[in-house]
Amino acid sequence: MVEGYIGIDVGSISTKGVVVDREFNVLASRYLRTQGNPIDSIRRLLAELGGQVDSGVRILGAGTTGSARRLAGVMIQADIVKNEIITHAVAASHFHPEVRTVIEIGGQDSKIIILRDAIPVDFAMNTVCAAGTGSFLDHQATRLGRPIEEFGALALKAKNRVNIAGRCTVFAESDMIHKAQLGMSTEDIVAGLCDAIVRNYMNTVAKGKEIHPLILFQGGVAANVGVKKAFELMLGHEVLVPEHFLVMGAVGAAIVASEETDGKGTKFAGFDVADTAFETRAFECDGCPNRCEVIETLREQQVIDRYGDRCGKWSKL
Amino acid sequence: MKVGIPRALLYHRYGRFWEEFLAGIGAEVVVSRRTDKVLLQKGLSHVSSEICLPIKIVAGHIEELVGKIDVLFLPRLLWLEDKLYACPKMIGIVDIARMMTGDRVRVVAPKIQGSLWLPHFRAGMELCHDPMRVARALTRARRHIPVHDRTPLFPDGEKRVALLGHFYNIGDDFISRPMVDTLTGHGYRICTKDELPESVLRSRQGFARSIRWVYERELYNAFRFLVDKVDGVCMIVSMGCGPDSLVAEFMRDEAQRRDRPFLQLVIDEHTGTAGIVTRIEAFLELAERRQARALQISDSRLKIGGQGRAA
Repeated sequence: MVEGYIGIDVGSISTKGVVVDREFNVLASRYLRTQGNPIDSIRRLLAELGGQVDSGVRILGAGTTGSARRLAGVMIQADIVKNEIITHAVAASHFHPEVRTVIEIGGQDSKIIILRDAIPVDFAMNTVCAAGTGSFLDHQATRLGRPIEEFGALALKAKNRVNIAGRCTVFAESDMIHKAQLGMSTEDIVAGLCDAIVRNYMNTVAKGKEIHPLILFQGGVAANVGVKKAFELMLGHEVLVPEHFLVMGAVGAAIVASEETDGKGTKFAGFDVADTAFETRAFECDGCPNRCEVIETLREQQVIDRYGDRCGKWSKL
Repeated sequence: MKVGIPRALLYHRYGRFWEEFLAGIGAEVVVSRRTDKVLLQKGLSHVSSEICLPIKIVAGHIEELVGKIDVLFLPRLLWLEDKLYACPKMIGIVDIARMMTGDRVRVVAPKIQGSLWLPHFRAGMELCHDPMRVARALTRARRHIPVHDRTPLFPDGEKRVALLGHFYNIGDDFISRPMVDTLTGHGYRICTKDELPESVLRSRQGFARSIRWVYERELYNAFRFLVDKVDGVCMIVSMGCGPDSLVAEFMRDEAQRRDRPFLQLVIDEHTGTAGIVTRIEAFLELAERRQARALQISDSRLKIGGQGRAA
């Protein structure tokens, strides 16, 4: 029987999971839409991953990452819960040890990680604005009636890249509509949109960072060849989209799980949490005027985790 | 007579001094409660959304006090010695308060230009009319102005992070608590600018000489002093703060040259705790991985050196 690790990355838009062997070769991987219900998507993800490896893998360790890493960690009883900066960096330097820049654009956030000698040394994330991330591209593709999968290829056909304002999603959209009314081709406008996304990324997220090759482009938006091309034009370097670009966070979570367990044995609950009843509830604490929104996770009606309070009154179980 | 002081901005440095002084001239001092979400919401509805978080917070505190007090005590800081200026929003806070409150409350606003004594004496006279009593209260209260003349110790083997930012951001639990809890939770001692001696903070060496904002010069000097003594530097920047955004860039450059991890935390009223915690955790881990790597390298160099000598 093969031995391996499981990593799960639950983001705002998508839920990703992988099973890797001891050398971190990907044995199974799944990418699902979170659709606003992470518990359900984690459950489906585990069931599908379990089906893919068909109980032929003995799990030595489990790790979770992404914005719902805590919830996922509680549900699968992960050995380690790690932030997405580290997991993306770890996976990138595993597959490409010479990487010095990681560009990651997901559904609602984007980040840059700077590595030197395979060690992450600096990072930045988008702060208050999600302009230029995956959800926006999704929205524009729907508005233009094109499937998101073909959106990038459309941009490659552009003859004259149109200038689109990228500072703000709302303004970018009205600018695109305006350019369409002027009679410019969809291809040119979509290419302009890709440029705007890259410009916005460079001015907000990558501001002040020294970008050196090798440059990896990860996350859902890396599927968009138009954005990849726009990055290459802007940076003057080739941008590499790694084989497992969609699930790099999950692979990283699996790698840190192996570092963490290191033969000590795992707490992993198994692929069949699908049969366990999980529930999350939120309530507003009225202990003080801060009115913290406290979130609790229940397994079989029992509270197993609570967070969100500023004072620690609820999070201490 | 009830005199109210908002627990915000300069209160975080001069609060005790003001409380003692006002009590000394016979006022009943009312300080607004600690910042919380309700106070912040009150502030948001009174000031422009473009302004920085500390001003939004002080507006909430002022609104909270109005109706419970006869006089609002709100000093206006223009500059301290050496003609180092406060930021325009700090200078304008009295006007913001007057716009907000109209004739609902009387505002007493000592105008600080250089020294503290005379403007506070005049403000005291507005409230008390007995010059002897005002002078006596002021002299007694003065010992509550914080003065630091000792340099803290930096023992070996301790994990340290510099948490830099304006004292009114760090001093406000509502803003700084998630940061402080995360850092101390990971075993780091937090070094701030306000525990450093004046001789360090007032230095005019190098770039500090060109900084004409009083608190920005302090921040930059603290950064220069701490950067080589800590494992990393976190700089809290209020969204929309002009002076901060400029000085923080100089810090970033310098940190990069010295190969020191640097994190800029931008705060505004939407800042969720989760985002702050994620960033700090990633930052600390980066710092640790970097150090482990540096140790490995120096280790292997030692070994090579050792072999050389043996041969």
